[in-house]
Amino acid sequence: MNWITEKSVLIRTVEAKLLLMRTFSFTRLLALDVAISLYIWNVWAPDWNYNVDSFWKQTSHVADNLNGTINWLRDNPAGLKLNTPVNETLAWFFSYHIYLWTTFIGFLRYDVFYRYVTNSLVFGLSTFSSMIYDLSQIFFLHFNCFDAYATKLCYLCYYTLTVLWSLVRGKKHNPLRERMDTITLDTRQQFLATSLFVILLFILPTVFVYFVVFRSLRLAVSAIQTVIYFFGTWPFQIFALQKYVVRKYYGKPIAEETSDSPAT
Amino acid sequence: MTSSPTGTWQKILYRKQAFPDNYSGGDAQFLKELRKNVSVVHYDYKSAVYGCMNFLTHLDTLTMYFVLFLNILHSNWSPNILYTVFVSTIALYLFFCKFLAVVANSREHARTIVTLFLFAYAFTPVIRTLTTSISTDTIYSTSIITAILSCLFHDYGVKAPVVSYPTSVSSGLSSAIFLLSRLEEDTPTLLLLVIAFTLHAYGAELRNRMFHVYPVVSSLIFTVLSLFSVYCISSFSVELSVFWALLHVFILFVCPLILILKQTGKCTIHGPWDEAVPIKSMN
Amino acid sequence: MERKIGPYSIALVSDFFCPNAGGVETHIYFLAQCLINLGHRVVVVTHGYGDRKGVRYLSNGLKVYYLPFIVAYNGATLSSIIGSMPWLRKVFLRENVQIIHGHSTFSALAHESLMIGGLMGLRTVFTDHSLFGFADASAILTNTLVLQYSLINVDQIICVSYTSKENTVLRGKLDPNKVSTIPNAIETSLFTPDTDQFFKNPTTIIFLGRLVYRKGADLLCEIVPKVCARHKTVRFIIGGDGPKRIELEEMREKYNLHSRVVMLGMLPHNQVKQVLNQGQIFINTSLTEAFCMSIVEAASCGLHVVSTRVGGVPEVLPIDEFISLEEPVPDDLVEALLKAVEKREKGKLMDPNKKHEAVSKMYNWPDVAERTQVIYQKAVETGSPGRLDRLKGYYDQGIGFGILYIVVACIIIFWLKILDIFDPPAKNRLKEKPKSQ
Repeated sequence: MNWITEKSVLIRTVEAKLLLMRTFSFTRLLALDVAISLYIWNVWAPDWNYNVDSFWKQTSHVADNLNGTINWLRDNPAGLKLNTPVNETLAWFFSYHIYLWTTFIGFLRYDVFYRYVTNSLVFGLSTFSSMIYDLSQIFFLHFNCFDAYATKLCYLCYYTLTVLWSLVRGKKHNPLRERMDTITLDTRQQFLATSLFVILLFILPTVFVYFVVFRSLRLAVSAIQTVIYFFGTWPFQIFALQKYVVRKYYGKPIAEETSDSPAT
Repeated sequence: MTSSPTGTWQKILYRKQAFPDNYSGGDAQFLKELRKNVSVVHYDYKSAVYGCMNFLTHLDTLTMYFVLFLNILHSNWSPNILYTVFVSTIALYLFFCKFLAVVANSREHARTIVTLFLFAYAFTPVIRTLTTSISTDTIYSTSIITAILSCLFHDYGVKAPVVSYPTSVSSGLSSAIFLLSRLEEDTPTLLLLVIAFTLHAYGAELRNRMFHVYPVVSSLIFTVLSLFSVYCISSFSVELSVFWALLHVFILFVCPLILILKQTGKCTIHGPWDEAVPIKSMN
Repeated sequence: MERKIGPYSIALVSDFFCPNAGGVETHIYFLAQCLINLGHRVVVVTHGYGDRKGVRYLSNGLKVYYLPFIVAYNGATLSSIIGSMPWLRKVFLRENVQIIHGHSTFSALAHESLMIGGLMGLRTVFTDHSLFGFADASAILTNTLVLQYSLINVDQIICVSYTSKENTVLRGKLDPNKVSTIPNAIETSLFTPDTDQFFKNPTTIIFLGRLVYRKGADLLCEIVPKVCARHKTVRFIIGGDGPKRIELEEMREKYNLHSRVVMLGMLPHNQVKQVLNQGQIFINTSLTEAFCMSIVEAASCGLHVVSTRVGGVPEVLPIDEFISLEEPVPDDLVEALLKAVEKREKGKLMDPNKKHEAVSKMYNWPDVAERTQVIYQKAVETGSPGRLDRLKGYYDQGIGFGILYIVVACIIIFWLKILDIFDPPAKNRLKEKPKSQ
């Protein structure tokens, strides 16, 4: 339970707001917040259904695009020297996971839930944004998983390759002395080392391509979430900015200043 | 600051001598310890030729491997030839283990063979599909370059600092793996892989020992091998085989001659000022 | 009483000087000191060290010019002979220099100043401090490209040992009569023995030097365990640092000699005496040495020296009483060390104070300075080759690289003439302050 309260932006911002509401300058900002949200409500409310539907369309577009990218990679495009069996395996693996993801968000598709979300717009733009932020965390959970798989695989591949490169030349890292030792391998080990080295050398580009795809996907999602986060906490940012400006240029603390700082 | 008692000059610095500072013993003692051409090795033509034969044998075996691969790829030769070569390689390896190996432990050798087979069998499907998306020209050129690299670091029976057994075996094996990724079936891949590995890992020692112990037999084998390789290449391209034959003649007969002739022009100076070479004790 | 020589105005030029500490640096410093005591005028010219640029006076009154040249590799300046010419000309004219004394083959600044000074008509002397081979690439380049052409026009040459003289004569194809042998010296008052520690300490063998291949660190690795195995109580102290330190540490761990072998790491020069006083025997395993300063320091502190027979080492100290020499074979050195240890235990080693007295008489700086000033006299009194003769000298050594030197020399002559017109020498000479004595 504690973990949820720590991670959830909505709950943290609500707590902080309750704390700071005693301050007049903050209440001003909150009022502005609610005013903006009411304005948006007025603009959006008539075609709210349309908005929700278009949101879902966009989501399925994203899923389709992702599947399309994976299929595109499967066809070994653009002169990328992708190894066919590995390519096939990774593509199959990730397609299955994307299918899992689409099923998952299918479960989240309940109208009642979204009524609830849209009604929270009454309480202010920041509340709405923080709620959206929390929802997006759940939504895009799987993307983090994809990124984790691809990163781990790529790193494993790369690390093994560097170690084997030293090994085929007859050198091994000595962690005690932190230097490269010369080592003589017997013929079996030599055979294994060389074969594995050549194999990994050719597999690395394929794994790397998948790593790039999923890492950039996760970075894009992170960027969007940062923007939403900003909208979710904008009153606190302005409040802190105000205090800073006053203190710096006027040199006197605000009378109603409380001792605790906003929990951003 | 006493002068030396007898008045003769001594090569010492701790006593002031009755001679001016630019005197150093006159012609009798000055540069007395100069030696010229101390470390010159006198090569004779015959041993130089044998050394070249050693080098050319290695080149010939590599060429034969490439020829074998090409013929299997284009299905010019029947698979029986491949099986024969394979069996003879294994026989040679066993011969090597039994008679010529330093560590004659049959358990180790059996273990080597078993491991080799198992892993080769496991890796064969992977290797076959490794480079399907890369163009053939790239593969062939990479293979040749790594094969040349392997030749550079190979041990030809002469102690030299550039020789590095791991690098030579690794690059030789990688060149074979690059080639094998072009093949269609599994069995030739497996056999060729095993042949390539045995060739690079044990070929050096076997060949060096044979040349050392049985030079005449080895030179006969070399002659047969080189003629056969020239003949095999001629089935692909006559110009190349002529060039190959000429290269053989050049390296075998002309290069030792150049070596012998140039050695006479050597002039090195040695003396007490040389940096000493520390002699390492046996253990 | 000999006729007083000079007084001359001397410039000691080298890349290696304070704040660096090393053999060449101390040589120049003490030589300058003793020459000043003999009444000559001495300045030192070197390149700038970091922020240290310009003119400085050292604590004994020595004037040092730190010229702002770029340091290229291993302490040597990037030589651009024509570019350094105005600087050096200015310095030489200002100080009214008569003799230029360059030190060390590795010092590009020394070679430059010898060339420029020679073309200006000043007398030139060069001291060589190291031994070289003939066969490796760097040696061939140094010998043919630099040494032959540089030394052909030098009036007198000094080497630090007879082996070094043979080496230099062969490398530079020089006339042996132009080359004199004057050994190095040490400041023996700084290296005194400590009789208390000498007799009371357990038998200790000391090695001080950089732990590199050239100084025989590999030999040391083999000797130490063998000696410790054959003798129960002998200790080793190893001072210095370098790439081979790891191997020595490994050797220590492999044979479990932590209590018997002490590794001190890098030692500053002023602590050397304290370390030497703790032992009775000094081991030197260098593979090549022109004149080994460290064994003289050790002998001055009263230690018995065991060394490899390389380079100029056999000429430095009397054999058997002061030093035991062996080939660089580990077993021979082990035998020699054990014999020395035996002698020490029986009390048959020479008394350290007597040794110190003897060494003080063998090598001291005033003696070196007196012999050097005889060389200066020779340089001044024999005529110096004129400019055409210098060019001919370059030509005679071989036109291949000689053409390069001839062209550079011609350019320098041309610019010297131009500078003489615009910046006359007479205007440059420092006005001597009238001495109040």
